[in-house]
Amino acid sequence: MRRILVSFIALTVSVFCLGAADAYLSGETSLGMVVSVPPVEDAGTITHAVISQTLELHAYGDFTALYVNGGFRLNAKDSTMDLFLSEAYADFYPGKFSLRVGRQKAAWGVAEISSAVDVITPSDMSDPVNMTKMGIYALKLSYDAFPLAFDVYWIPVFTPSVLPSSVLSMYSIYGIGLKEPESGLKNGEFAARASAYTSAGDFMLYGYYGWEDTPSMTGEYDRLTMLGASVAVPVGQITLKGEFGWYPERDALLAGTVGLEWIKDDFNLIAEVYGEWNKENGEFSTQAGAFASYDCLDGDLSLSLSGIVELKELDGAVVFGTKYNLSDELKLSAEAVYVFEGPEETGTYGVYKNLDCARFSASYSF
Amino acid sequence: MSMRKKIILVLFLSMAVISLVHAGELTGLDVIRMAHDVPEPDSSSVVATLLIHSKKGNEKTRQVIMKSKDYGDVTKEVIVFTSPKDVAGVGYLMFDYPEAEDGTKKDSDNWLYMPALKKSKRIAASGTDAGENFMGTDFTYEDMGERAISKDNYTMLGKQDVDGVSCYMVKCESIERTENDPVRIVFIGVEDLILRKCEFYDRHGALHRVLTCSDIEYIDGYACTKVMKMENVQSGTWSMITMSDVVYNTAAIDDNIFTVNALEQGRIR
Repeated sequence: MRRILVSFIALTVSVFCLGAADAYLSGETSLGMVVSVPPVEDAGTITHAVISQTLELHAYGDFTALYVNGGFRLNAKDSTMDLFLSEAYADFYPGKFSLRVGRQKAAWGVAEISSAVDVITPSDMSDPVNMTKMGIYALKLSYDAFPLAFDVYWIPVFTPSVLPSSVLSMYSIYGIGLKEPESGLKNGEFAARASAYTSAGDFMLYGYYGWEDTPSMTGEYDRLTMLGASVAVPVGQITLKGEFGWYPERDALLAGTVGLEWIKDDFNLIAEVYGEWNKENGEFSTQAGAFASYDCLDGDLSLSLSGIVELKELDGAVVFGTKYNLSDELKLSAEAVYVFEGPEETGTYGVYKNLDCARFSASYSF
Repeated sequence: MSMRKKIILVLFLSMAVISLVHAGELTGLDVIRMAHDVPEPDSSSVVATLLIHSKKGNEKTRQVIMKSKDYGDVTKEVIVFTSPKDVAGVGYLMFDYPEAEDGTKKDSDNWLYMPALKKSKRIAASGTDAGENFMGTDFTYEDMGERAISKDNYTMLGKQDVDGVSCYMVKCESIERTENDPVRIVFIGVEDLILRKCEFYDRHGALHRVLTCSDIEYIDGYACTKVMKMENVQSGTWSMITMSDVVYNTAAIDDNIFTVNALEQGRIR
């Protein structure tokens, strides 16, 4: 099924570009390095060194568009190279109905730090400090009757999250193989979102029926159903946000996030509290997160500070980041990541205590 | 606020009406009212290139597509960055509501789309506060919008030539004086009532910024100022907005582009 879809996408890209009224290519070359820092035992070790090249193709016709984002990564530590395809989709939007077909990313919910409803796309967790969304092979049908909008997804091919190597090795040690759901239409996933955009605020309902994108302890991917809602209400200078998800098949039956965002001039502040109720033990677990950024030097320098704390285990992480634009094309960035543990060393974040690091990158975009 | 109002800053009147005008008979308020009452296009589409010149002489260029449509009870506007690469695809959707007769004004509705996040987010109206810089330039959102006539007192200062064009000089003083630049002196063409220049004075009465308008063309019967330069004489920075691909009242500006979904789908081109 996946090969068929990839072939279909490749064919669509070729045909579309030939007939596109407008097409252009852009991209980015980046160099990244991660160095462990004290108090990690092997401080000073280069844990990652990656060169990556991303290319983006944009093509437009009348009421149609095509977008492809892919490239390669060269791991300088072990001289391995991998190709990646982040997204490759075609859009058709002749009127109020629109269709997007192909590998695509989607994001649900209004939370920025910890979402209670964003289940539609899996994550690449190979770098636990810098998790990224992955594309899914899907067909998305939208109906836009502003201020109402409806999106329906059919996801015929299951895409699992990429797990951290430490987790993968645990499965390997115990001899547990990962068993993805069988390919076939009966195992397809479905999702829907209804949105209302009003002066009072944005209101959304979500429904998802598919699979967990991370495996259980047995290596199987369990069924997942989610019903959720979110709201974002501007009040004066801030936007209040809330979202809630109900997961009948999960131990953590209910999850929710409340928070606020304040944007003023070059300053941006986000604060959120995420909580979930575990039906197995009847306990609540909560975590608080915050993000602040400030742009200065005519926008060339950006400083950011973010942090998250698990309020019961009292462990968490803090990230200080800075980005500097040498020009519109050439950018430098650096981050310091500090993970702290609570009284229990096996806390949610405490287990990643050995990930304290400094991250550096340089990128050139065109 | 409409695109025309935001970017072109006011500038039209029929030559027939203007020919009847004599400076000696006009007050400052008369001139401002005439400029304010000029018919406007219901919709517009513009590609704007923003040149930002820093104090040290560094220059940055930003390009945006701006489309707007006036529905009477609301003006809808969408702005999408097309360059440089790191901001390409970032889009704003704004619904701006007109001032009521009692001077009150409903907060605008604002959404911001960040391609990296793959979703739009609702932002409070404060994100576009009138006194804040417009997209990092020396222009403010208030400069780009239509200012209510009732907010200022007006004094006719006489006439002065600007680039060889005879202009009315009108002093506009903010009644509430809460703005960063509560006093402006506008220079409006005697013949065409088009804004040629504007001097902005800060709360201490010192000259703060100077706006100059040039390359004025008529498109489908509406005047369009294609180049606007705002110089901050206190900081030494300046910004220039150059308009291209200006289209007024075209059916190509579809109602369906002024939606959050359209913003997320990247339909605005």
